[in-house]
Amino acid sequence: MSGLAAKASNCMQCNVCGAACTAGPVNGLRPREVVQRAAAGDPGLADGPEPWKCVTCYACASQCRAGIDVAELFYELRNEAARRGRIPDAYRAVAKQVLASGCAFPVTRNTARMRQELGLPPFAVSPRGVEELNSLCRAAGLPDLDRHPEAPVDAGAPGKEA
Amino acid sequence: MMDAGRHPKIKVLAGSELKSVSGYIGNFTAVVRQKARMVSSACTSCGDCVEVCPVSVPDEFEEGLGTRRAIYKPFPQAIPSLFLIDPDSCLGSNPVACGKCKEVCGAKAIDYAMRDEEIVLSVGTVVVATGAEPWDPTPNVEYGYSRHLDVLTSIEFERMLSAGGPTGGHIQRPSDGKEPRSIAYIQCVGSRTQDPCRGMTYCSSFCCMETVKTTLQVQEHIRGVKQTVYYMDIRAFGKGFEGLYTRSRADGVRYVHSIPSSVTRDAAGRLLCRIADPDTGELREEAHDMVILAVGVKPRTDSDAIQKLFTLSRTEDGFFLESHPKLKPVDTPTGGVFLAGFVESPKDIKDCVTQASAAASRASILMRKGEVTVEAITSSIDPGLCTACGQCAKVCPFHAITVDKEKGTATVVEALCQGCGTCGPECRFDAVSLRHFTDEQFFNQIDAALEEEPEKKVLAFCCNWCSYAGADFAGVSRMQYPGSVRIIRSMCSGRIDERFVLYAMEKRAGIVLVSGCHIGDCHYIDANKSTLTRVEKLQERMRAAGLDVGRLHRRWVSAAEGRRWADTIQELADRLPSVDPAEVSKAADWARDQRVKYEKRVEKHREKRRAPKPAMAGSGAGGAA
Repeated sequence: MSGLAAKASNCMQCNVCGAACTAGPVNGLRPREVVQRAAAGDPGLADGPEPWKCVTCYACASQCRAGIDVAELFYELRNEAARRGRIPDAYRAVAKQVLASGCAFPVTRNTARMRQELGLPPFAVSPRGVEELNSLCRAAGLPDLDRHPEAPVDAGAPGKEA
Repeated sequence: MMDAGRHPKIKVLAGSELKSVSGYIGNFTAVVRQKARMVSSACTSCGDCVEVCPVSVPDEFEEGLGTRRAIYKPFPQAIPSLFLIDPDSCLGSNPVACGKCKEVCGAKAIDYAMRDEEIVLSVGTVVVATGAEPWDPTPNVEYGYSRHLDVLTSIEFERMLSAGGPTGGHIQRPSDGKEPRSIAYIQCVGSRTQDPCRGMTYCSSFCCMETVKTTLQVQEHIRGVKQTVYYMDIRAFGKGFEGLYTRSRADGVRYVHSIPSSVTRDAAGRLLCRIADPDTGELREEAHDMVILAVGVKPRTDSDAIQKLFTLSRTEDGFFLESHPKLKPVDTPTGGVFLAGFVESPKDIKDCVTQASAAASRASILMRKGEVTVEAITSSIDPGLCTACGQCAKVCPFHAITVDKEKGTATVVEALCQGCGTCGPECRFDAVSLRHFTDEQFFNQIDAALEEEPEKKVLAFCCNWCSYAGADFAGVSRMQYPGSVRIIRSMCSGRIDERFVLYAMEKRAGIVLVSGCHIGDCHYIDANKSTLTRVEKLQERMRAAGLDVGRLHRRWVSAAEGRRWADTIQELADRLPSVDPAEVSKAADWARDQRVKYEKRVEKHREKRRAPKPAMAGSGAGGAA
């Protein structure tokens, strides 16, 4: 986590990230607090709901005076959480869906019909493509998706502020 | 200002531009272009002309909040107290076009034919006090400076508060002219940011106290006004500043530790500042009647021209560099040139006055004495060997070398030479030498340093100001590093001739290190840039000769970097055991060949110069006798 702390240590606590945050009003995310905790090297930061509350709109990063890419910080926290096996169920389901079909959003009957109406050919990722994607993900260090954490991960869903 | 204008020994050249400066300490010649005022000194300041002038343009002094005429006085206390015509907006003398001011001028002071004048001044010392520019907050789009009329900069607001300003000291919303009931201040606009579009990295230092002062002034102007200051840090460090800050808070001014992410305008015309509550993090929009952006300053855009005129150095953020941050805070590397005010760094009025007084004192000490003692360490050029190729003059950071192509020699102006010696290594014919740091001294030191077991030594060439001091600092801090290093001091790393490095190779030194100040920190403006290119060139030549480049290193170590010095020596000493003796021999042979080649060339040149030439007879340049 020292890399995160070094990045976050530039923070002047001006709170402009909090004022720019689009997720905050919905789920109570406080980016200033997250950056402060990252700077202090809080080891429990990746285990909490904060990493998953961010919607990665980059509004904070675009306004940050200290040059900290706050949204990138959230990605790093998510990676750290994933390495610890603490992936929220919803993210786990999406990852599994991608590995199985090659698509984050499944091709439903509705999309198939719309493609037909627009004169587009039927769509599916080829088995070879899916296999390539799987090997790429393995090479990049995607953790075991079937290893579930002991306690369920709180992803900070709206109305469930931690 | 009036006092300066009236002083018998002070001459104020208003509306003037410095075109060129030549010479050196005590003997500067400055060419100044004085812009035509179109109004002579016969002007009595009656102001009749202003009343008839039909032109109206934004007033620069009022930050565009008021207007002025084409014939005007820049501001009421301006020196000299004369009117002037702005040629860009004046309609002209043609009676058909205008010429009204000339008609009404009782003193017959208006002369449209007046042209710019060039004045040549002989001066002994110079104080550079050209100031800085306020940050224009237009690129900080989130604050809507160019969208909302009621968003003003602190400088515009300053004019509005002035009794002599465009509103006569009444605070009014520019959009509807009404008195505001709630004013917000946003701090650090254009300062303390890593984003170059949003501003500068440094703290502009005066804006916090300017805002604190303004809040107190506004509190007196408008009874019951609500004021909110959005800040990231309030820096109230000067004498009495904390007291003012406390008073401002006691007067009911709200200080909110949160910078707004945007300023928008609602249907009622109020300005909404979107902030996150500093305690709860909760998002909210706070409505104000006016928003003041506390803007910082940036170096003047024409700093490059001023830098060239006086051969000055600048810091990373663009302000001019003083000779020493603690001991010579108003001097510059150019003798006889001093700095005062924002040109050196942003500061408040008191610090500007202090620095200006110091610069004036430093200058008058020199003027009073009438003579200067120059350093004994200066370069000299042997006219018998010099070919006037001008290479030395090209690298001289102080422009201290003048090349006379006709006479065929270059000469050093000793009053300008600061003794870095970076000229020496440029000379192909051994014509340049630096007093107290001669080639012979270096060769002898190399001999002595490598007398025993040269392969097991790191030979380090260190500049006096940074690296040698850094090694010293490592020593006094009791840092441990290998004793296999041998240090040779020079004033500047720019003095290190590649011949010294080659000689060390010839003498079988294990590793050679050339060390100087970091780029930008050089005590001789930028002489260490020559070090950089020379070492790189030599490494390139070594590579071409199939030699191990890992035996020649260039590292920057500052005077405060004792740890870095110790680590560097440790790292290089650790490499010593792996230096191959066969490689050392190969390099030594190659280095000897290079030396012999050089000596042959110089000797041939010497003989050529000694041989009597009919054309040069009587000039005595060869010293043939």
